[in-house]
Amino acid sequence: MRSLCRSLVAMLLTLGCVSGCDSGAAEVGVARFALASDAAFFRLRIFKAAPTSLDAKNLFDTSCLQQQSRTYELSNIPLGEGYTVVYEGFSAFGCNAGDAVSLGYRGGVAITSGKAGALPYYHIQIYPRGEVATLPEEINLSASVARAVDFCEGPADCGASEVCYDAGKPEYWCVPSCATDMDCRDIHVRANCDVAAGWCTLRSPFPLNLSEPRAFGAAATLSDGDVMFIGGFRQDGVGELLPTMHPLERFDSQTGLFVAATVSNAPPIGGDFGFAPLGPDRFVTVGGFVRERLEWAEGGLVLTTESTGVSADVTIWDTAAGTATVTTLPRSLARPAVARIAPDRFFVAGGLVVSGPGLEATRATSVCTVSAGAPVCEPGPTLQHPRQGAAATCLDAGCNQILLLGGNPGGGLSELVDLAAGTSTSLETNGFGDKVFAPVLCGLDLVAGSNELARSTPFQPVRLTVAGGIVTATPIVSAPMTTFLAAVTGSDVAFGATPECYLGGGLAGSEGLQTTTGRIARSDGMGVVGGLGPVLARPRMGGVAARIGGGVLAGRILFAGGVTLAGDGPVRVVRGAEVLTP
Amino acid sequence: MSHPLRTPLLALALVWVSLGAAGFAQPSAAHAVPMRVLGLHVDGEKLSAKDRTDLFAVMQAKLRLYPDVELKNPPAGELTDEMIDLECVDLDATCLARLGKKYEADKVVHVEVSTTAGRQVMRVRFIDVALVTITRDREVKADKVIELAFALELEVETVFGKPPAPVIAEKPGLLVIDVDSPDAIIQLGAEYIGTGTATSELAPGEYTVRITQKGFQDIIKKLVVKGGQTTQESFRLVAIVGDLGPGTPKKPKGKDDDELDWVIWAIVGAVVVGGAVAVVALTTGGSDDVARGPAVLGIDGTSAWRDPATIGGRR
Repeated sequence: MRSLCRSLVAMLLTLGCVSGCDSGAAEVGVARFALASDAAFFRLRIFKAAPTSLDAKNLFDTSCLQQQSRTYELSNIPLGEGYTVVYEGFSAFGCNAGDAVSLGYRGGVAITSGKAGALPYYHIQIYPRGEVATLPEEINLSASVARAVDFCEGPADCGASEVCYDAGKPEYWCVPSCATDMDCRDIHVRANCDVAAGWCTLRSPFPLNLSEPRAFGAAATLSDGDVMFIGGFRQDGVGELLPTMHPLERFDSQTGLFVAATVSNAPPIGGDFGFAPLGPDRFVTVGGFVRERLEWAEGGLVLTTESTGVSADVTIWDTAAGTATVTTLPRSLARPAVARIAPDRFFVAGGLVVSGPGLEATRATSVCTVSAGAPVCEPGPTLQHPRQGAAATCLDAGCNQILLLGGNPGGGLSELVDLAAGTSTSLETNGFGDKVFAPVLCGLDLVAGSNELARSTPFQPVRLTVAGGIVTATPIVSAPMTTFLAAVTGSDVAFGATPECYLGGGLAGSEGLQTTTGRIARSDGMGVVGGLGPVLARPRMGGVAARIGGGVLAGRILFAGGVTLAGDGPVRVVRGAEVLTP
Repeated sequence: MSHPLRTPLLALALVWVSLGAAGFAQPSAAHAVPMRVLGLHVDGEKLSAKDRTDLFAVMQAKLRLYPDVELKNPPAGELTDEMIDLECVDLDATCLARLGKKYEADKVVHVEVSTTAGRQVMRVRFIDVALVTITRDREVKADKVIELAFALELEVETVFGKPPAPVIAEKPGLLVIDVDSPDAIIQLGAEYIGTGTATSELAPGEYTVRITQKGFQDIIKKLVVKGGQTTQESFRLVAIVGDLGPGTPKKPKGKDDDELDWVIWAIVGAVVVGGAVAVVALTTGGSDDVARGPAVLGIDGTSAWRDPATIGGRR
């Protein structure tokens, strides 16, 4: 660390006012910019507010500079708050748009006339092109504030609550140690003590990352381009999953920061609920677990819960209005399939219901209508086969016919629900087996799934056609390695009328030892599925993904949440988010 | 088959080279080991102490110009004391070689000044310690001591060759380019240096400035930057008639523009020693009474916890 600091070279950029502006009247300040990327050229701009594009009028512009130093001082910045900093890294070919290799973005920056020595530090998140950016998490604070010393060989050579770190000989450090969280609060008010290691850590530098883990939740893009995270589990002990403390959390595409989203009358919401967007900034969640225990055994993932751990709530979330309206189903339900029929109407099919001491898949369905903001649900046609975690998709514009696929422990791969007729009819299958679990549909392309419940198996993506009571599966031959994405629960995101889906993570391995993967694949919903080069830094399953829809960050895919497991080790939630720049 | 006459010639050449190497081979960059040279204090009872010191200083300064020469410190005491110590009868090659060996030198330079018929006579001897041989022994006569100084330098050059030309850092000049459009791209050769206005600190020389902006005619001009001087050049872009496409430029900036319009004024370098805090700021214009240090923008995730936004968040 010290050698790094010593190697920092500063290039000072003194920026001034040319003729035409009143430099005497404008108060100006200085910002120091520390680079850690390897771009050959860069350009840093400061905008008065979040720009809609990089062509927007800026307040400050370094222009295109060869990156020769690690620290730059930018001066004569007009004082103000709420600024947005945009960094662009370029290849050795220069600062043409096509040569951009990375984008850095951060809103909410204040340039004030502070005193020397008092240096607010603003983290500029870098999003490398064609790669995944892992947002900061699990920061070792002890390492960050370690003191370099000439020599030490024991605590006596360091200060109180410090230990000597000499593993990097001949460099020696006095590192803050801890036994309790309180020992770390001098460094950061939200620091925790990793008791086993004796180091102080900051699990999440919220709002630079999610405030808490969100496994088996949901995510969606809002009308303003922000990404909303809905529900999910946090961890309470090994394998014990509880609802997140805050039902909603929003990624603000204007600032690049996460913010708590509040709604009135929000019910507790856990994970494994049914989910569907109903309209701009309106979603429905159905049922789900509000407490569960997840373990990994030889036979796969083992889910246990109590009867009280299953929710019967049907909730309409209106994030624009900041409201949540709840209706209770007659029976608690988890992992149902939900399909949007219309902005005020949706279909709920199957799911796990409490049966005796355990859970079983159901054949029940509901047709729900939103009336005066509140959902009213009535029984729908009974399914031919019990299903849990099935996929549902409309086959016509009016969504009178809905294809239900998979999640069928007793066989019967798919069936066709006719809402007008009030019937559900089994479909014959051509070209596919009789079971699929955790299916992921992108349009009518079945891009991920598993042939076994709670385990990953080799999986061949297929393109489905439904005609004459037969569902025909045609292998997508161009798909490479997608068997690794045979996720029990993966992450997918579909965009508008033209499907384009990204899948991230899932379970990998087909026999014996299985593990979570960080692989990413893309489907265009038109018969093309391909694994992408970049992978998630945090292997995960049961995560969520959504596309950032607004501002300069638009088009990037935000992956978050999920759980990770390695071998027969404990299941742990994944805390932070990662961003893919396609 | 080689020509019968060439072999003896080549052998002679090799002998000459070998002798040269055994004697005072010129220091060169190829020398892996520096040549250790002991320059003795100048002898001369007829010279004032100051003249002796000056001559010695001239010799040492000359020898220091050779990068491969390592100067050894001469004996601090009298040379006669050294001769007694080394059991020398006379200050001959043997004695000087012993002296060189004692002081771990490969070569010894001895200078003695006497007076003959009212003229200064300087004897300069170069001794190879390993060979115990005087490789050069010359007498120079001069009317003034200052002439002896020049002669001594010449003797050193004769033995060691011309010293490499000293690198004299040229004082850089400042090139200031101002274009009447804030979006004009300014390049020095192929290097992008700014938009609208640019200032670069450059070594003296001729540079090609290229100014481009969509919708305007390119400007290419050669400019000469002189050391220690500011070369300032203003350019006015000429619009290409009929280009009103998406890239149509904004109006050139004028005195009445009231928008904040910040462009690069100067780029100056400095080195941070001991961390990112000790930044040396140099300015070449604009207001220098800015408030220092109100913010640090960083992209290192391990430092993200320092971000003030992380304070007061959820636990």
